Amino acid sequence: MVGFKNRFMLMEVYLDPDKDLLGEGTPVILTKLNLSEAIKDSILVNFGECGLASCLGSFHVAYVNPVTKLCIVRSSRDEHRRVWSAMTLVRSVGNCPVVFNLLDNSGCVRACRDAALKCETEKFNQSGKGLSEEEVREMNRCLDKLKLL
Amino acid sequence: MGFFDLNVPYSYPSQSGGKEVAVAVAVANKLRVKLATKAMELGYVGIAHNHSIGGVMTEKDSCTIPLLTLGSFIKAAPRLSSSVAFHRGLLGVPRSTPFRQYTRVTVKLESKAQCLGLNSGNPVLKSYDIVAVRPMNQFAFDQACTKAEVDIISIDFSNLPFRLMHPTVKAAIKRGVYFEIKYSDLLKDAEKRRQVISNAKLLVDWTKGKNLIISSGSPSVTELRGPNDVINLMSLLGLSTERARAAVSKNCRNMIAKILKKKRFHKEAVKVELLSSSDTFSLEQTLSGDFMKWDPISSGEGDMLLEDLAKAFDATTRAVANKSSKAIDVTSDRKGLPSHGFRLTDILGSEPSTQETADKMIDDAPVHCKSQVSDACMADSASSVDNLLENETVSQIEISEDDNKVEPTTIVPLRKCSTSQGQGLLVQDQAPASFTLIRCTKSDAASDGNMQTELESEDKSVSPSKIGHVVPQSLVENLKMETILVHDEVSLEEVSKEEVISDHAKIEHSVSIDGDEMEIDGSLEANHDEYMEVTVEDQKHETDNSLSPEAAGQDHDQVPSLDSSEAELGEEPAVPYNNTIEISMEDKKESGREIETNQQVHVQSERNNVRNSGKVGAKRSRTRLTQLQPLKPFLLHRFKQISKRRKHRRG
Repeated sequence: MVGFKNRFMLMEVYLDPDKDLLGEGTPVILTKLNLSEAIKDSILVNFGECGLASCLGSFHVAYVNPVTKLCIVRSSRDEHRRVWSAMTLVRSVGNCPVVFNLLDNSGCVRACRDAALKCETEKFNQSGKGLSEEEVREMNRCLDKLKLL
Repeated sequence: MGFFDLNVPYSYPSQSGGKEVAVAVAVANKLRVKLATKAMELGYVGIAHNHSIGGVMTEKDSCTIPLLTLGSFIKAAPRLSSSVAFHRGLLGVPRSTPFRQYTRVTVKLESKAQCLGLNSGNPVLKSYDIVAVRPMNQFAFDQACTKAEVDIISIDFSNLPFRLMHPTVKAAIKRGVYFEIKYSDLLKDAEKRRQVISNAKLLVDWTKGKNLIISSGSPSVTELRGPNDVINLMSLLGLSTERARAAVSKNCRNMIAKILKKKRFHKEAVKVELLSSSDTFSLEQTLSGDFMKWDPISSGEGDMLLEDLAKAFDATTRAVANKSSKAIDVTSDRKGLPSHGFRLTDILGSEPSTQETADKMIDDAPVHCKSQVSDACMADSASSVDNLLENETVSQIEISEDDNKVEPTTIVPLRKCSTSQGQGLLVQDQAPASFTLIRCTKSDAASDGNMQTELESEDKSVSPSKIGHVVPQSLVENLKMETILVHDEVSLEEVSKEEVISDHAKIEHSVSIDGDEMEIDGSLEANHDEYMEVTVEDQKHETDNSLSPEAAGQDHDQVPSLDSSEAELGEEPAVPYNNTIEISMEDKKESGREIETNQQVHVQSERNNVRNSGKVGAKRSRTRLTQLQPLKPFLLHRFKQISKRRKHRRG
């Protein structure tokens, strides 16, 4: 029935982990473009042209939340391990050293979306100092986008 | 199953003073805290601070790694606890798992002289929890695999100067040495990655994940990755997901358990713990969690609970292991104990002399004893008897193991009652202290309140009406005593449950020893000179069976009369009890030695943990109570057979 099988990976990104675990100041703002560039680069370096080519088919960064630093990456089921390894091997996004951490891996958007919502709320609660107005708005926008996924 | 990261680098502050050095030290320490915090946040359950040494080992290489305290964690990241809880929830690790810290040393092995120093007697190495070796050349590698007494062989795959040989690797695995792969090398740069993958693939193929542990060894926080990511990275090396998962969690855990057992216990020693007498044991209710406080891989002060973190109050609240309780000193105990076992007179007469040895062994026991003896006629003597008994039993166990002698090991903690008869034949101890004997493989020797073994004493008083057939209670002769041990693979959540036998008001306890796989009704034939009582305790305490302690030097007709008219014996009910029983059997010498008191030890273990002492004829098995019930007649018959067979053999 379903020809295409996908995997949706919910990842959390740690920006500049060496510097300051408390600081909320973001050296680089995560966007879909940023992330997808970084990941594709990593696949290219580690798995070569052919590796990149086979991953590229279903590869797509579906959702990014710069406030809570969550992102959802989709890839085909056959290649998802490779994409996942490549993501783990990513050392920097732009100029900023990053660490990817997988939170959840699911086969359908719905499950991923639910997991993402849960994680978002948790992370939101965890963030210590009150987020600025801007950030709260941003947050809400992202949540809306998420619900539309 | 928790994940471990057993290679968090630690650099010693160098001796020379100076401001820059101080700054460097501060930075290094901060890094350490950051690494540890990050590891904890990512969901790791244990880390090991790794100190690398090379060249000649000197005294100052001894471990002085300060374990990180709660305060340092809180300072680094005040919101840590919620983040940790979040990640642990995602990983499936229970939130209440304590975060453990261990100390580790990695010795750079180059020359033959260094290899010779790598034995278990080396005091520098002994000061660390984990000993790892990093061979730098072929010879060193061979030595490390085949001879050196180390726990981990850590190979630097990014530049491998020697070749890995399949037979050597196999030999190392057989000896129980673990191989370590550091994944941080994969994250550094392309060239290193190439080397690591091509070299480590060979190791992975040969070991197939067995005896393999994966750790970070990351010099900075950027190179630390979460457990799932690490597992996925290992697929690049050819390790399947489940094997990789085991490598990060189960293998680490097994290794640590083994190490701690070796460190804290002498060979196959047993730890005895007293239960509080105030708790009544009711067969109906399930065992409360209070009794199972044994933490097999606790790292003592290094353990950190999430709740503590959350409260951000005091420093670590985890039980502080009593590190001074080292291996039990058999020789000193022996002095206090007669080789032929205890006679009641000895117990009564020699209490003061053996008091010290008892104290030496178990720190809290005296305290517990005293607090528990409630109605005992003689509180003090009873408690010292308890001590003694514990002492004896434990040391007897050792002796019996060491010497392979048959000891009349059953000693009933008897209470001295004013009305008891006989020359103190039956001294039955009122103290509802139940003692369960468990051989601990990895517990802290005397972590507070975490005494893992208890001698369970169960009563066997036989009501006078049953006296007639009580006497030749069955004993299986010549069964060696072995306690089965609680074992390594304890799942993190489970703690050993010790059965508390209730005292119904007047309580007389007898400790029953379970024959392995056998339930003996207590009516087996016994050789009149030797016997062993084997019973399987029934939690329901159906008083169908009765066992009698034997009177010393007396006719076996004289049944110990019991003051209390209660007869308690029982078969253990299968139902509420879902832990395995440890079974121990004792050996008694053949030639008519009479044993005055019996002590049956009921040993229990944690679920899934049983280990055999490995003695000749030792049969240890772990069995669930539920399974035993239907097998009863068969087991009984079998037991008889074995006893007969052994009788013949000895004869």
